[in-house]
Amino acid sequence: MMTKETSEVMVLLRLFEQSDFTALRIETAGISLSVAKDGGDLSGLMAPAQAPAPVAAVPEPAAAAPVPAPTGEAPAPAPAAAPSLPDDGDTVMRSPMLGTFYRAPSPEEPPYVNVGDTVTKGQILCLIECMKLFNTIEAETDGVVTGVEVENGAMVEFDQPLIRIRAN
Amino acid sequence: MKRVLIANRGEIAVRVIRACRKAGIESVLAVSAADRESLGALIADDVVCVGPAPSQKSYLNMPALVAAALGKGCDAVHPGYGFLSENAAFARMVADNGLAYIGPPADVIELMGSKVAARECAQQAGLPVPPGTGRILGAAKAEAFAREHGFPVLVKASAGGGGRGMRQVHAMADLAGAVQAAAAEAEAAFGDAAVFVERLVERARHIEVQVFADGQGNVVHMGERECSVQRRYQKLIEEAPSPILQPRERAEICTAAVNLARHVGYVGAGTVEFIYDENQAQFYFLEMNTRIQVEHPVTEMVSGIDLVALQLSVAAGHALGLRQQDIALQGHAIECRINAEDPEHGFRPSPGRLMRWDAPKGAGVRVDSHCFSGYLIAPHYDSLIAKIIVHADDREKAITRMETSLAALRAEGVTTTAPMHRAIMRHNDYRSGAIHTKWIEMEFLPAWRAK
Repeated sequence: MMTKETSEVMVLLRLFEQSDFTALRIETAGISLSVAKDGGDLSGLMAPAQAPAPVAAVPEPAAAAPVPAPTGEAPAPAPAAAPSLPDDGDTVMRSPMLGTFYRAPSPEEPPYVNVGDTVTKGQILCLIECMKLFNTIEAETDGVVTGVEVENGAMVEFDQPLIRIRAN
Repeated sequence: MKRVLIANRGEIAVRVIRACRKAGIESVLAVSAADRESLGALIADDVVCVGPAPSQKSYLNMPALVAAALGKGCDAVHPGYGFLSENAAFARMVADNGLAYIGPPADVIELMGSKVAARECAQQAGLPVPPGTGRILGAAKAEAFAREHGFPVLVKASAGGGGRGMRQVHAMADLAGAVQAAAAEAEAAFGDAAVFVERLVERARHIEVQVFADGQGNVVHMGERECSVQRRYQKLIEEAPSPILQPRERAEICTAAVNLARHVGYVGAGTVEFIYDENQAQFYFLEMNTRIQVEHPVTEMVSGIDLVALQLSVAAGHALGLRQQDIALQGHAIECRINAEDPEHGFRPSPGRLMRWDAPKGAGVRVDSHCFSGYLIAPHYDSLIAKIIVHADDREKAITRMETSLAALRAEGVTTTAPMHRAIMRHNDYRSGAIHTKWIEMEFLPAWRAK
């Protein structure tokens, strides 16, 4: 039986295969993936130390489980000003409030979305929790998830970029 | 205490950041999206954006502020003044999350926040209160009170403050309507329609006493401030000492304030406000403010005590380290609140970009401000842009110093109240101390506008 991760990898590979790109390298919280085709070279894509395999899909351990409400321990400091991302046409989903960012509905469940997933407008992308109140963040547009900008369980500020979507 | 979240903005945020720095404490400033480029955000050790520009979603957003404090690893929260500084629910939420609240316990904030309960506490502590009713709903008891004590009377919201839910009534025919209007305003503003009625002292002066308590049995006062130059219950000018209090009255009013602070188990910096009836030479308890106040620098100038540093120290659990006999008040201090408002057009707010900002400097001159040349004064918040505070050997010299300082202030791009303050400093009534809380509205402004 396929796990969610491997099915996502399959989707990615299919997209890659149909594309004009010859090399692809993706790292997200749960997955690190490097692929090349048609003599594509991965070395220019900030490749990891190991030699690039023609096709290597390496699922990492499951994404860190959401921690419960803030405990008073300081997580990694978040940037003060909302960081501006290069305008590459992607829709940037920003946090409507300060809170803790969660990628999955519960620690036991897989993330709502991963990079490469196709999403439809209104689909839940992640949760922002503030003092035990959970708010869902929904996709503003149809498209493919091209980036998850925050670590699971980290504090996000108001207006901080969370997830990027490239419109279809 | 190692890291303090400052849940405020403007000049008081800057003031608290500097006090933290002096005490070797890290400061984290909570900002709204409109304040990312503020002076406070620039000088704080760390900044966290808690919400969009409207205060309701940022500076009044309790869960976001507490989550920000926890997320940033803070161990204390300074509420400043205004916003959540006298909100018992916020103080409780801060404490319940294991953070030190820099202010009194939530129960004391709650008690003093109810005007009726505060009045009862003051009576128990032996403070004079104006004749009045307890908490009432409806006009019948108000009318009975007015028949016994006569007019004018003041109808006040039990949960009120800042003049909201307050009505002056001069005749029986108007009383029922005023009670109804005040109750409706109180219900809308505070969610509590209860009001009470007090005998109104006309031509009253506003005199308040700075108190400080450490929760370990030490309670002191740092003398009084007079804040009779007000418009619509908003203070414009404050000074210390009061130009009219005699030494015996000063001792009485200050002792009364300490007694109340002790009676309610006060901790931290607080202010007990009184109205003073000059004709009767009688003072009455008005209310207690359970926070640091805008006008605290006036007391700092005459006492030489850094009140915000003391707040941090007491909140960290240290004893006051000051006995009453250690506190000596010297000279005279005056503060003018400079607002981005147009006094010639009904004090309408005048937000916009400050093209030039040069604050006065010199011996005995202090300016508490968050302004700089190029600063955009946002329309979302209070219009206070600076406090000019002067200190001199006596009141006359202090007035001269204030006039010079106001003349040296360069604020271009927005309209400010500075020219009005200059006119007040030159006014004979102000110079002779012949002022009361309605003086600005009834006497000064009509003449100043006519000229």
